[in-house]
Amino acid sequence: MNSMQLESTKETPKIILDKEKEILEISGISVPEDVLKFYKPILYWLDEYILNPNEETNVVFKLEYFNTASSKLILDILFKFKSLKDKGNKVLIRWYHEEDDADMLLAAEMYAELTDLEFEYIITEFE
Amino acid sequence: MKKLKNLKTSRTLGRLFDFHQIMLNEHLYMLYQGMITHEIMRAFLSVFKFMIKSLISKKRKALRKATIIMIECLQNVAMHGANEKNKKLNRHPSIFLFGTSGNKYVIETGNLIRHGEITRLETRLDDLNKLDRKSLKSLYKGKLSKTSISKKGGAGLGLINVAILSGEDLEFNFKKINKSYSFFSLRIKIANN
Repeated sequence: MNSMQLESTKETPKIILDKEKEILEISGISVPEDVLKFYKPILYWLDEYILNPNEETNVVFKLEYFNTASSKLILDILFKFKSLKDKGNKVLIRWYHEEDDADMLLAAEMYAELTDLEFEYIITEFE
Repeated sequence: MKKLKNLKTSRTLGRLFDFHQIMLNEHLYMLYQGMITHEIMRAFLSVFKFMIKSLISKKRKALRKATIIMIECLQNVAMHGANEKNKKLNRHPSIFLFGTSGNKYVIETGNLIRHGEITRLETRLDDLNKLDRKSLKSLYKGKLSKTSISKKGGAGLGLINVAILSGEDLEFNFKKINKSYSFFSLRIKIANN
C-alpha cells in the first residue's frame, strides 16, 4: 500500500500515512477553506488501510488549532478507526495537547465518548 | 506654498496620532476594515501566533482561546457576510476588532446582513445565550456527529464553539443600513485570567 505524505501549510496539517513504517500522524494547524477537498484523499487512504490493516494501529493527533469544519472531518477519520476497532483490531489514539489546554482536552474527550476509542493524552509544547 | 503643504501633512499625521491615542486608551490591539476573506483570517492567525509567542504561559491560554474564536468569527463573516458576496456593497465594508476590556479579551466583528436573515440569526444567538456550558457542550457533541459540511464549507458548529470557549453571553446588534441590509455587530469576550 502506498504511503501518503503531505507537508504542513499555514492552513493545513502535516500528514503522514505510512502503513509499512506504522506511522499514522496528523499534526499542525487545520483551518482550510475547503475541508472536504483536503480531507477526502485522507479518508480514501484510510478506507483502503482498513481493508488490510497492521496488527496494531497507533494514530498520532498533534493539532495546535483546528476550526469546527475540521473537527467534523477529524470525527470522520476517527470513525474509520472505530470501524477497525469494531472488527476486533487494536487501535490507540495518541492525542497531544499543551499543558492546561482544557479546550483541546475537552475536544479529545468528546471524540473519545463519540467513538469509544482508546485515547492516550500526551502533553507537548507547540512551537 | 511649501509651508502650507507641511501644515496639511502635519494635520493628517495628527489624525494618525489621535487614532494611536484612541487605540491605546480603548486598549485595542487590532482594528481592520475591509473585505474579510479566508486569506485575511490566515494573515491574522499569523499575527495572533506571534502575540502568543511573546506571552507568559498563563496569559497564553486565554489568547489561544481568542485565536480559535477569531478563526471561527472571521470564517463566518467570510462565508456569510453580505459584503463578501456582493462587491456593490463595498461602501459598508466588514470590520474586525481585537482588544481588551478590563481583564477580558474582546473580539468584535461587523458585517452586512440581509434583513431576511436577521430573525434566524437572532434566535440562534438568543438560544445559545440561554444555555449553560454543560448544555452547550452536549449540543456541540450531538451536532458534531450528525452534521455534514455545507456547500459553503461550514459545519454549523462555529457559534456553539465560540459560546463554549467564551463562557460569556454573545453580545450582538443589528443596525438598519438601507431597505435591504442591516449591519450586524457581534462581540465576544474571553476571560483573560
